[in-house]
Amino acid sequence: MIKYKNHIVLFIVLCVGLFIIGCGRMPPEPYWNWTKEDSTEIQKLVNVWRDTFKTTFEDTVINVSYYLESDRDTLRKIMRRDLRSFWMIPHYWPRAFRHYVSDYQMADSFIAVKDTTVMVRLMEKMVGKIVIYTDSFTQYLRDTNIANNIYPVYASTFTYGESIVENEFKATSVRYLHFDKKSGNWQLKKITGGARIFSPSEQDYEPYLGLCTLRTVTKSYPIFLRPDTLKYGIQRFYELDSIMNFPISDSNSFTVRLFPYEATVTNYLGYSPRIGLIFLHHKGKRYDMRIPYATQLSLPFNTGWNSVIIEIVPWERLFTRSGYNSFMWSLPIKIKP
Amino acid sequence: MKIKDKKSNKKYLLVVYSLLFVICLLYAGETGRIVGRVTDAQTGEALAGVNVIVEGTELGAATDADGRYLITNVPARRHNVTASYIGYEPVTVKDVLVIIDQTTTVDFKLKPTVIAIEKPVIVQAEREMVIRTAVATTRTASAEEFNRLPVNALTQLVGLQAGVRQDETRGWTHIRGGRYDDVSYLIDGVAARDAIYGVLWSSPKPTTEAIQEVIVITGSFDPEYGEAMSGIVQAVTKEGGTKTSTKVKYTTDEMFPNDDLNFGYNQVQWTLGGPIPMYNRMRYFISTQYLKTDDARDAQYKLPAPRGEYAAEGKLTYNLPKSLPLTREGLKLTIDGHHSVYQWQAYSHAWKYWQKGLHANRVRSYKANLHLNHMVSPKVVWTMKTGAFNTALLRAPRDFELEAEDTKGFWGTLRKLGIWDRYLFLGEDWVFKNPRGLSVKEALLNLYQGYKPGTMRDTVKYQTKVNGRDTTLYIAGYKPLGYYAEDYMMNNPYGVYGLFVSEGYSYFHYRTTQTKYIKGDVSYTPNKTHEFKTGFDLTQYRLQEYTNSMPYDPNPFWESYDAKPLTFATYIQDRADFEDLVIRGGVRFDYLDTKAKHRVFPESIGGSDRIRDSMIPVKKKLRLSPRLGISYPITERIKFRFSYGHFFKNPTFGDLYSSSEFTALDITRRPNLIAGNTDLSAEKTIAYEMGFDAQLSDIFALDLTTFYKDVFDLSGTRQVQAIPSYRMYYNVEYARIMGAEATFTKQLSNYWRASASYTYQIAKGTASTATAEYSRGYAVQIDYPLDHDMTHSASLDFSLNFPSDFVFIPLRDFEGSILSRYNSGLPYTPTDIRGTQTGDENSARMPGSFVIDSRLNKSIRFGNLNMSVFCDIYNLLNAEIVQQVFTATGSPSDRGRRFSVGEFSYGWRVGDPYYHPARDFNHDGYLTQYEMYKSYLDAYNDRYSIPTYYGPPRKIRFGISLGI
Repeated sequence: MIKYKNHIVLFIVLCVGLFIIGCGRMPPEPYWNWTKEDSTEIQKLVNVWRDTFKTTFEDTVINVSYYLESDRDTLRKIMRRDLRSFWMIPHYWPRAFRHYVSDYQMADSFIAVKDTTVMVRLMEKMVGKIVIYTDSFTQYLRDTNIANNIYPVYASTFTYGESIVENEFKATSVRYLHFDKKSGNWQLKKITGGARIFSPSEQDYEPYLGLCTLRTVTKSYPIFLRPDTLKYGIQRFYELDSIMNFPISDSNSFTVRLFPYEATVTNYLGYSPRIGLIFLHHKGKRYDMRIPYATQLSLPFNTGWNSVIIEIVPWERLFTRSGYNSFMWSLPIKIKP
Repeated sequence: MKIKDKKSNKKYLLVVYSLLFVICLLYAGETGRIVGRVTDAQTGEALAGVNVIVEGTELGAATDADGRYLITNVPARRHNVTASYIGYEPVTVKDVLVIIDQTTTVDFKLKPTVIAIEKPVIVQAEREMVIRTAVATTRTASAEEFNRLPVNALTQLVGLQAGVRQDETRGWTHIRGGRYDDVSYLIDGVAARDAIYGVLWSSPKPTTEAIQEVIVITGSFDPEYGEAMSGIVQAVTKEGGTKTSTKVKYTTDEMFPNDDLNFGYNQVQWTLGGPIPMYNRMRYFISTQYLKTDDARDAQYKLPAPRGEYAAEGKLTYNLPKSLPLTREGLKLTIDGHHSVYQWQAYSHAWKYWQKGLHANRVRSYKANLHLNHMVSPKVVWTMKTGAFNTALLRAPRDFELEAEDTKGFWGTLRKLGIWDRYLFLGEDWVFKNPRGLSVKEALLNLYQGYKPGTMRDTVKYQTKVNGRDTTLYIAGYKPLGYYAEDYMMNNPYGVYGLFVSEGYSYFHYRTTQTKYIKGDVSYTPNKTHEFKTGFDLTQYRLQEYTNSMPYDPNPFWESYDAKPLTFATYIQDRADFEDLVIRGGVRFDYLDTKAKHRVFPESIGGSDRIRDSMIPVKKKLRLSPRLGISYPITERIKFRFSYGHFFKNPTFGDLYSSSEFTALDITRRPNLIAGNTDLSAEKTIAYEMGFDAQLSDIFALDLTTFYKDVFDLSGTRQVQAIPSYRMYYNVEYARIMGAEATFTKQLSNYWRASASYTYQIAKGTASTATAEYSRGYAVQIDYPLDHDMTHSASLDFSLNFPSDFVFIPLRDFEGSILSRYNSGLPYTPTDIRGTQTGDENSARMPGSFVIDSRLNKSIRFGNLNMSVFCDIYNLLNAEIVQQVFTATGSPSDRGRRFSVGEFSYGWRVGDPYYHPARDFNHDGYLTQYEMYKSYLDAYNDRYSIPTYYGPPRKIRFGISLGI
């Protein structure tokens, strides 16, 4: 027994040691947090996709000069009629717009999620000016009668195309991307249904555009700003392949109908009487959607990616002393061959 | 040096005494007495004229006709005491333990011899297991305990004593059911406590290796001790010995690969002491300590709560030559200094995902003391002490960006090497190195000007009055829940708002205690029976506290005062030892001048200008406290003791001075304010204690103690019936504490020693802390169990010790100790899930805890070099220690709230304020009700699985020490 005494002691020490070591208490596994490498890799992908959005989805359309595709006489009629409601405040009526964007600032932000995904908010801040070519405003005494004028004149009127108004232009474009690393490398998996462009800043939710529809001869496709899980819309994530797309056989011409609502985030169902102007940008042209006084327009689409940008401006922006604000949707639409 | 005549002698005395008083080079080591009797070993007859000396000192005495001797003024530590007499073999008793203020008995039996023997016979001292002269419960722990037990800090050692409860969570020490601030904390006889809040955790502590002895008096104490009601913790630090010695000790747990056992703990201690070369009368002792750990919270598992400490202290003692007339009996001068920095990061589970917003702390302390101990004659000893003590606490969030840039210079290099991460705080430069020349107070009250661009949001001005003057506070503009989720409340892995703090900063707090003191005493021992002692203590404080909210508080909690109270105390006492009766009695007189004013009509803050800020000076506070203690030794080994005393303590100065600079208008702006009350009186305890100590044999001892305390005039808050109403401190609370303690000790024999203790205690009162009424919202009229009322506590300390000649070679010089403790659960007030009280105050109890710690130590000697390797194991059984519970369930893990899917709103889309991708499990950009429910539940479970509700898990540390 004495012969094995040391062995027994050693054995006991070993057992005690084994019992002790490895029996502590581990802190909970920390959630995945990205590294610098992840950040660099995602940023590279973001830059690639940003260029794609600009070229394919024509997001840069904002920086192009647009002349309103409208009829002068009709415009004047509308203007005079609308102004009856707001006669006490001086207005102007734009005939041509041009944005001059002098500076872009990218402000992307990443939110890493514990399931090894990252949501990227692609934000672009634009600064510049907006130039509006308008009728000039003339103020008369109240109840002035002008010979040969079939419309009654109240306190003010416009003379066709004689003023240029310059306003400060600030806007923020926001689009969300969803990256996934489940396959080993970072990949762009999903994007939102379209970008939203807020002017002057992303804090301004008004005016509000709740719904537009794309109509073919036989079908109608509603697009919601805030869709549920069944509807298509802007504020949802879609896989790249399932972003809004139509077969060429369906139609190559859509009628765009808009339903502008005044709203905040929590109240978006009421129709807004405050929507003043609605424009539609398509293939380098800016259409006035109120002509012929209806918020719809037929547009020809090509095979591949098309982009429609809808811009709405509230009435108040037509007051001569107001700043400029607007809300835009940039809708990517894919026509399959 | 020869003194020629009386005149020059007087001149010399005058010059020396004047010098000593003027420059205040005054200090006394903490001392005790040695008495005993020398007899003939063969005949038993008393031997007169035997020289008894304390080795390493110049102390000694000769026996009288009865063979008795008395040596006073013996420094408290272990000594070798030698008795020698012509015709007898000299005898040295080794390791005689001298305890502060107590008498140690060492008897000698000398054998006659016919030849002259110079080398004495060495005898190991038998430790007196019953301190005969102690009239109240006195626990002692010597430096050896740090080597034997698994403790590495003074507070841990104190916490092991019966009747003491160490609240590790808050760093509070409770003695016999008293409040945490009822304890006086002395280092070498000098108070070293953060006087504003009376807590030990923000006070400097002596380095562990410098501690010679720790005395914990849990019963009543002599009149020379004041400013305490529950107990006295007295640490005596080491002095340089007769030989040069040094020791290096390193403890770590970094060898473990995983976070379950690797807490990043590294502690290095180094000491050096001995005589100054070529001059043995002057001795030095230097001690340094460095600590770095990744987690100092001692919670359920490893947390990101790092702590760093460094401390350095030194002591220089000078025993003046005895050839001088003044120093014939001994005059000792001691100079000591201490500097330490403690820094640690706070941890709060609510701030788990926004740690950088939570505050860190830094305590920086300096001490310098000059002490004089003069034995005028064997019967008269006087001591004087003077010194200064400064401790400053800074608490604020760290500036991590600035720290990342701090890589140059001395501190930057230490940071790069990973040795010392110097904390740099947000706003620190602005407050202390103000570019505009503002004072600390002005800069702190205008803190928001000092933020770097980008670290704060737009500021708004906030007008308020400070000292009646309009002052502008700059408050960061509050940005409401906005458009982008990541900026706001959802910055956590669940994307859930409202559960975790995810933005903003805690607050900036700075406070200092600066103390200058002078104290002195004279003891007169006319005979072996009496020891009269009288003394005084004059302390001038300067207390400053400044606090301000960090961003996002439109109505900041700011604090500002600069107070200079003065305290004075004097006492007279007698320690009478009649051998069969020991009486210790005396009286103490205390004086407090707050040097402040108080509001005449605190209830009229809404009144006219003349009334609401009408102030008058506070009256000086005087009080007298008698003390009496009796010990009745039946035999040398059995005694009864009884003590009775009135003990006073000023409320912590924070209760007096907080908001003392506020105008009535300031108070009206802060409805949840607790106003300080500069007119508070002292808190009072009347304590009774009875005990029975018995040494049952040479190795077994038992002591039984019962105690009762009535505590009056405790500081507490009450609502002031003003418009608007607010709260103020008053002397209104009461406590009644009673209990019994039993301790059973076995000295080392047959290779083992053990000590078991049990404490039963009932601590009831009307408020556990001064702010209890404020926290609760109403006053309680009926006594209830106080928060720190631990009914049962028991401990068992068992050690094995094998000497160097032990038969089994591997176990030679091996020591293993097991320290087990049981504590019954603390009380809490049961509530329902909404927080509504469902039972009486503190009527429920948390689960108790049982913990075993262990230390294994193996020493190996190589010539003069002594090497030890040791292993500390804390919480050996990895037991779950509950420190806090949810009041609705009594469980530390279940808050009691249940959820159903239908409770949750849903429908948030990507880009909405409440949308967060972490809640969107299928990443479709739309939050369904289930996703809202599930993500909230996950977050909730994380939020309320609070690791700090539990005590530490098993921790293992290894160490090595090398000493010469």
